[in-house]
Amino acid sequence: MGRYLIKRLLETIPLLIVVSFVVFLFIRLIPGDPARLVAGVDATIEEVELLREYMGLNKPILIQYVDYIKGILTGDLGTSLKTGDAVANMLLPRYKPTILLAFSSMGWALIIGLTIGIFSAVFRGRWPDYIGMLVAVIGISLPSFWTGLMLMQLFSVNLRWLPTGGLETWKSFIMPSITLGAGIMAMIARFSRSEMIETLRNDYIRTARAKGLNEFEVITRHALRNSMVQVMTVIGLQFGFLLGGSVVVESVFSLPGLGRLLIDSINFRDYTVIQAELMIFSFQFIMINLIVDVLYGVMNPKIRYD
Amino acid sequence: MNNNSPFRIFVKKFTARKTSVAALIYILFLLMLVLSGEVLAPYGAHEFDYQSLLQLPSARHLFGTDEFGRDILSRVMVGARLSLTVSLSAVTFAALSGTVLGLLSGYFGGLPDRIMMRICDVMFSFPDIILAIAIVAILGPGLENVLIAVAIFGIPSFARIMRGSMLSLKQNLYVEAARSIGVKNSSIIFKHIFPGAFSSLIVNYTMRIGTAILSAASLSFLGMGAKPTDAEWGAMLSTGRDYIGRAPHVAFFPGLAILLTVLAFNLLGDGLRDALDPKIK
Repeated sequence: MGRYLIKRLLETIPLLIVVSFVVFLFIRLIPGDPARLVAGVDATIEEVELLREYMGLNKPILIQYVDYIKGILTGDLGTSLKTGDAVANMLLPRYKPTILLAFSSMGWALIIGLTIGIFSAVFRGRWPDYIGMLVAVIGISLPSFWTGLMLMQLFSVNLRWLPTGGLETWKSFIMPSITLGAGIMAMIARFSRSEMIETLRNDYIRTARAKGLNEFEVITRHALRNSMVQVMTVIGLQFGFLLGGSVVVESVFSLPGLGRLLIDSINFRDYTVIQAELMIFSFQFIMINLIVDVLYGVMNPKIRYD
Repeated sequence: MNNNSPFRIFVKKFTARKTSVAALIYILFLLMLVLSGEVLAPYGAHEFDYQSLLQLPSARHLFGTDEFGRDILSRVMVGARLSLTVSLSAVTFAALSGTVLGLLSGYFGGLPDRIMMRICDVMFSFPDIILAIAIVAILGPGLENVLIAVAIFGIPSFARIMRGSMLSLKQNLYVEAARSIGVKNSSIIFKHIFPGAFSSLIVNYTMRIGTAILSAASLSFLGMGAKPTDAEWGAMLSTGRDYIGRAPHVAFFPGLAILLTVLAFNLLGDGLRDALDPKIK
């Protein structure tokens, strides 16, 4: 197990380095002079030159990259071009809404998705299966920005049950998490159904039935347990996408999270913030994938010893 | 044609699934709108009518009117062209380049294969929409750039799938035989191996169109894609957002069009997957 863990960790390091280099290049890929971009159109040539020196743009690109990474490792993500604040300080308060949104979405998506998946597999080819899979395919196809607006119209404007946005109460998270979780719920339902169907075909399920266990026990104690390894992998991977999907949902509901900040920064061309956000989103995604892989290895010895 | 020909079996399996057939009919209807939306629409997509602003759906305007009095049904019909062509072209580009890259790297292996797979790893390190947003942030807003962004993030998924198919198919005896009689590599790849990988390509292609429509519409909704004046579903929804509360139909219908279209492509993909899978009887 130790060896597998070390191998996966070692594989991740070069990926992190390359991804961070790509994100570092981001500000340099934008057409035009980065120093002029930061200084603004009104700045004099001297000011632009001073800024170029300050930003280290005269140094070789690799040295600039090393300086940038050194900064990140000491918690310095640069300063916002718009407000002049430290980017790290701008990002920290944005984590809470995004994380809360991700967990609340995943929570309900998991419960409903698994329930639908199990029912569909057990009643395969009958009406609970058809209804379950129809719900799932609609869930995957829903445009989250539209679902969000329609929920807002119904529950905030017509019924006045829930707030349209903001962070005031826990109620503020209900509609955003329904919106964000719908697609994930559908993925979990579809995947857990096909996994359960595969598992239910196994000989040990037939044995369990033959020895007189009732169907509920066969499903919960034998089939579900064995399907869960694969299902957990999908759930883990979806978690990474959830963090990405929050960009749209936070914009719809004006939630002051990381996703909303990314869109605001793009609108204000605040490139240092965009760069820091891209770095965070990709690192989170890579780390989640690593954790999922390692957990998969822990739960599935076949993978670990390959 | 004999009753057991692969095509007959495919048609029989595909038509057994009513939802997929309905999806196919709906997609054909959409393609008709793409070609001749302006002719079929009851009003012009850019026809202003200041006497009937934000009207609710009625017999005259089945989907109601928007903030400039334009007929929403006509805009949804004409909007099929922009919304679908962007996604279809992006996915087609991704499919072509991803397929060629995947087949070549799977067939030849070695250093180019390793480099390509690492590039895919890097691209898979960003959630789809974040990668698209980053590309649009670099290139600037606009539908052409949305097309490029959606195309780029689609490439690795095709490359991986085709590489996987190539790795398993190239072990076959007929490939070995072709090689031993001196058939050129390009013929082996595209004439002998590619047809075997075609079914996974077509299923992924259909499924990716749904994702592409959603991504392109998301980018337009966030103000990075189509211009607010364009008859494009995402952009229409984005303007409709300002009228939630007063005139929800302005956002409802373009969104419904997106939902139904993505749903149709997903159902078609499901149907094709089952019909092309020899394990499913």
